[in-house]
Amino acid sequence: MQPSLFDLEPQVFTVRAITAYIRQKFEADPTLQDLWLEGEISNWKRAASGHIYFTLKDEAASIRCIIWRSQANRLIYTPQQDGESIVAHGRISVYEAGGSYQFYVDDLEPVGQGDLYAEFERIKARLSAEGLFDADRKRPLPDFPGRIGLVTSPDGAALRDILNVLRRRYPIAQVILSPTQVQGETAPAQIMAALEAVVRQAVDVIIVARGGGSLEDLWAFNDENLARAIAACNIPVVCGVGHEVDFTISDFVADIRAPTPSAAAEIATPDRLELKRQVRKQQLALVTAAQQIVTSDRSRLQARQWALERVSPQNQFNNYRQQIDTWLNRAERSLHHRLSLQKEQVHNLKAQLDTLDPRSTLRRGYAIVQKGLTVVTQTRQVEPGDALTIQISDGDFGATVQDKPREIS
Amino acid sequence: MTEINQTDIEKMTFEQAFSELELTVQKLEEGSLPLAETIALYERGMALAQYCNVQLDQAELSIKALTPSEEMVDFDRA
Repeated sequence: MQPSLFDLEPQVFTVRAITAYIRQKFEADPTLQDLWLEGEISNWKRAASGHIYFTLKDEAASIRCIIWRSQANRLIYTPQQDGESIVAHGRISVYEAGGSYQFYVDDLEPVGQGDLYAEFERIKARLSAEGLFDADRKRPLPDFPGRIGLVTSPDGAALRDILNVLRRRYPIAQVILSPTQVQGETAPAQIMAALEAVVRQAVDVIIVARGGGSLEDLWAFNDENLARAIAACNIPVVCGVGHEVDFTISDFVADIRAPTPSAAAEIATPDRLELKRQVRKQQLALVTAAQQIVTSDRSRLQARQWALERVSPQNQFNNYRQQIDTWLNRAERSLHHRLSLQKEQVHNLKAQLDTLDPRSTLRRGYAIVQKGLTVVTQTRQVEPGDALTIQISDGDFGATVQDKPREIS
Repeated sequence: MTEINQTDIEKMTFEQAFSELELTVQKLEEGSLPLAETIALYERGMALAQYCNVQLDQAELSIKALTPSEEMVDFDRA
C-alpha cells in the first residue's frame, strides 16, 4: 500500500502492518539473511529457557542478538566475558512484538582465530609435521584383547552400538567403560582424563568413540592436547568418531581409525564364529597328525616285524628244513636214477651172462661130450669103443663110440 | 608336558589355550614322536580345544564402568 502523490489523504497503516512491511524488507535482503558480524559482546545472558541474549557493539552502534537454545547447546566456543570480540554468523530480522530488529546468531567464534575448518587444518599440519601421524608410530592391535577400554559417553548411541558388536563378536572380553563428555568446551580435558584412567586399568586396547555430528559437535576430538595424549598413549587406540566421512585429528593420531563406533568395535576384536572355525580346524589337524604318526608307527612296526621274521631262528630252522627236503629229494631222485641205471646194467649183464651160460647153449641142442673127465673137442680124442658121457641140457647119459670119427674142417 | 592337567587348562585365558592348541598341533605334525607322547599330546590338544569352544559358546560380555575415583562398578545400562 504505497502512498501516492495523488492521494488527498495520507495513508494510515496499522502498527502491525507497517512492522510486517519492515520485516519483509529485512527478509528480502540477501545481505541481511546470511552475514558475519564482528563486534564486542556485552550483557551476555543465558535465560532460563536456554536461549542466549547478548549485545554486539562497536564504537558507533550496537545490535541485539539471540542464540536459540538448540544452537546454544552446539556452540563450540562460549565467550568468557563482556568486552570480548567475536565474529558471529546469522541473519537479521525484526522482532515484531518488541518493535526492534535482532541478529539471530547460529555460530560464533573468537576473533582472530579464523573459522573452524581453517583451525582444523592448522592443527593437523602442525601435528603432522611433528610426525605424530606417521605410519611407523602406529601400534599393532592385540589378537585377543582380554580387557577392552571404552572412552565414550555413557548415554550415547555409540556405547550401545559398541556393546552390541562386542556381545556378538567377542563376549570373552571384559569391557571397562571410562565415561566422559564428548562435546562442549570441557570435553577435551574430560576425554583426556578418561583416557588416562583407562590406561591405568591396563587394558589391552582402547576404543575412543562418539556418534555422528557436525564439525562443531565433533570439535572436542580436534583438540590438540587430546591428540597429543592419544599419540603418546602406550596402549593401542582405535578411534571411532562420527560417521564415515568425518575425520578428526584424533582419527589421524590414533593407531587405527574406524569409520564408526561399531566399526571400531569390529576392528578391535576377532570374531567368535571365525575363532570357532579355527578351533575346529585345529581339532581336525590334531586327529590327522596323530593318525599319521600311528599309521607310520604301524607301518614301521610291520616293516620291522618282517625284517625280524626273516632272520628269526624259526625262520632259519624253516629254511634249513626246506633245504634238507630239497637235498633229500635230489638224493632220492639221483638214487632212483642210479638204481635204475644199475638195474639196467644188471639186466644187460644177466642177458650177457645168459648167452654165455653153457646151459643155454645146451638148451639150444648142443651137448658136452666128455671122455672121463676130459671134454672132447676134437675127433682125434676118440676111438671107437671109447666110453663117453654125453651131457645135454637137462641131464647126461653114457654112450660108446661106434664108428671111426670123421674130421670135418 | 606329558601329563594332561585339566586344572591348569581351566585357569588359562582363551588366548593362552588357543596358542597352546596351535603349538600342540605343530608338534604332532612334526611327527617322529614316541607313541606314548603322541597320545598324551593328542589328549591335551583335545582338552584345550574343548576349553576354547566352551569359552566361545558360554562367555557373557562383562561390562564395568570406572567411577570418578577410578573404582570399577558393574554397568547395567546399554
